[in-house]
Amino acid sequence: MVNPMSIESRFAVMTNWSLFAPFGAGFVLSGFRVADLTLGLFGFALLAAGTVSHLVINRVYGIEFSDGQIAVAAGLFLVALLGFLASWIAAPAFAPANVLLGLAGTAIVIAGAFAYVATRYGLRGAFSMFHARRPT
Amino acid sequence: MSEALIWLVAALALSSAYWLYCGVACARSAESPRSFFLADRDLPAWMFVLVATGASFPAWIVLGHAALVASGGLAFAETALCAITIPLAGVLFLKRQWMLGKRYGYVTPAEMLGDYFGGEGIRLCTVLIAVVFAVPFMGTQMRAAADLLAAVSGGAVDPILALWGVTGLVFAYTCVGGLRAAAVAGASQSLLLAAGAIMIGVLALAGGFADLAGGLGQQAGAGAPTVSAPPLGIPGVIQFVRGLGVEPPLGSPWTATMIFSYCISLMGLQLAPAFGLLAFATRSPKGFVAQQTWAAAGAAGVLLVVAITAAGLSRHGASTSDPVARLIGGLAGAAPWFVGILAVAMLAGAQVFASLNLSAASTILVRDVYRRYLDPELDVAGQRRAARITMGLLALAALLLATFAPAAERALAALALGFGLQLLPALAGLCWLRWLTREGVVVGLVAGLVAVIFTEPLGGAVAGFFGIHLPWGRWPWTLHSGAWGLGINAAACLVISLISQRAREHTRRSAFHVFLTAFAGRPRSGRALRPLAWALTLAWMFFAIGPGAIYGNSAFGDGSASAGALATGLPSLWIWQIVWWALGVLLIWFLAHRMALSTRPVRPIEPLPRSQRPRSDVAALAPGESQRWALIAIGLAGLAILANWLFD
Repeated sequence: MVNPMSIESRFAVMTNWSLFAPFGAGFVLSGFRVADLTLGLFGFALLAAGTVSHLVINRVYGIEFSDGQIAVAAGLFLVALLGFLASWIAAPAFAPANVLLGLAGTAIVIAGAFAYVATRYGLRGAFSMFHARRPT
Repeated sequence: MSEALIWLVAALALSSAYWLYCGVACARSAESPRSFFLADRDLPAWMFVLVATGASFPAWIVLGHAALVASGGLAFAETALCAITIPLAGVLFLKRQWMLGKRYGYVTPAEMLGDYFGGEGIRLCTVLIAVVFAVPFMGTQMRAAADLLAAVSGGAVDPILALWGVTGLVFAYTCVGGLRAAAVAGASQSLLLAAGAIMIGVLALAGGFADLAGGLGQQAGAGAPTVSAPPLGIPGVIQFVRGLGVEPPLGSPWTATMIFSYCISLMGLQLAPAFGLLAFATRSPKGFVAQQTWAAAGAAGVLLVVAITAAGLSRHGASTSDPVARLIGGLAGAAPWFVGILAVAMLAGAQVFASLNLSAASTILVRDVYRRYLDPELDVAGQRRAARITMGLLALAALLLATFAPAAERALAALALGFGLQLLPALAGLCWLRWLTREGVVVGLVAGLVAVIFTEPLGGAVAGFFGIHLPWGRWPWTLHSGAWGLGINAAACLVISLISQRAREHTRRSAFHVFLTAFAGRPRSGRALRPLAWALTLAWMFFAIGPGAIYGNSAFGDGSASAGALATGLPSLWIWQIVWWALGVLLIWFLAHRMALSTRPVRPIEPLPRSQRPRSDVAALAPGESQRWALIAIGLAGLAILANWLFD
């Protein structure tokens, strides 16, 4: 049997993303489709709102991002980033507005992740997460 | 295969996988078979807020409201103020039902009403109402969602196949995970529906105000010349006609009386047994105020009054019978992924209602019919098994009706709202008026149900079967069947209660009210505020949805303005609706929060030991006798079917 609070928090997270993920991704795609920066940024804003809402849920239930959630987020980000770079390099008709949109989205995600880690663990703690001190 | 269709299939596959995951995860997390029925009375407040709102304003309202605004104009749009009357039902009764459920351990509202009034009639009527909601009404919702899928797919998806597929999906996850699965899936379904409704409103307004004015202009041009009311207004207070099908009203049937009675009938959605069951399953009433004030009256209200009404009034609405499908389908070229997302959002709105009612009706049938009359020794695991079988039978019945007898399904589904509303006097007795007696409530309820049937097409068909031609049609005097039923119900209930008072019964019922009074809590200035609460509620009803709504025709300008004039300003009646919606949100907040009708009880409620609870689980009849009556009922049903087949 699964811990009821754990399953409740998991459902809260999934309910949150069932709203923000499809509509956020939909608007980002629409932004790229019609080369409209406003539409695309609105999509990124929805995804950012979903992340903030996820943080609130984590706070309410006293939990952290699970390894699986981090893996899914990183995987999706990498796939999207690769898709954007491939389109930018390989597609001659890739509009300048789309380049700007892709760069803005990438910047939002990286800045958001950095801000989260820095505020959650402090600058030094965040650095220590990636830097293993050598034994003296 | 078009790009939009691929996205539609992908969205359906992803959402179906998630709903199924909800069912399986809930089943795995269940502590015992008992969890299947009420989710261990442990649904969190946020989940209640979402599910209750989604089930109160299902896709049927969203889709139907836009379509009927398109055909009925701004007069019908006034019924968007049901966003206030629906949560009003919850404000009046939900907290007190929750308290009684917690105290006495009730699993179903039928048990609660049966124990309180001490009779079987009220219990069986409640079962009947739950079944009407779970079979024909659920079938109608799913049919509307399936038709939308077929429409947005450009005919690539067969509506009957979609109907069976989406209903089968609802059955699968609800059958596996019980009420918790219905609630967990329902939470995300409600959010999807809300986001979808926002987007549909945005799409309707995206064409700019000129587009909206174009739609309004078409409506203005379509006004019937025989009606004295302005074309974009309410056509009078009442029309004393014999009803649709016999003597239809002149012009639009949406008179002030019709609007009032329809909005009141929609309260039946929150008075229905499924809602009581959802309240029992909630951990605490912490979310009641938020649900009633901000989610239902506030968020759902603004969506209905502004977004969905705009969808119906836009040029899209004026030119089609299904404006929502047309708006979604219009995205196939520019944003095909939104065709999938929005179609799934509308589908989700039907599923949240269907799964809740399927779960509730199966629980009620097993606990209040099968276990009570046929197998009193049935253990909890056996009850869960029986509930799953019952759920399957209910879903199958809904599907067969919707597939092979859509006309009969529509006739039966039309009874649901009116039937739900008929529980109002019974719940009023349970929660507030201890002097309402069992005899009064049961006779009133039965009379009310009969009145609902005979002011809907089903009554005419039944009378016709016996060779009687009713002199009235549907909704005589432009009064909805629910209101006809409630009027007769209340009159019978009051008169018979007055002449059937018995001290012993009164004492027994008083025990419930002593508990409610002691624990419910009242605001410090409650006694002083009570007249104000009554005055505000009655005034709101009079001006927002009652005869006073007529003033809205010209309160903010000339309602008979031409289409050209409309391009520069909203019609008067729409502004009136928006103003009274905002005042309605304040009213709900005042009642729910300030009058403490939905706030948390003043003291923690401890469940009574089983030995001190009212005797709810004793078989009313000896097992042999029960089975004999069951066989007789089945035989009579078979005879009725045979007679219908022979003489039809």
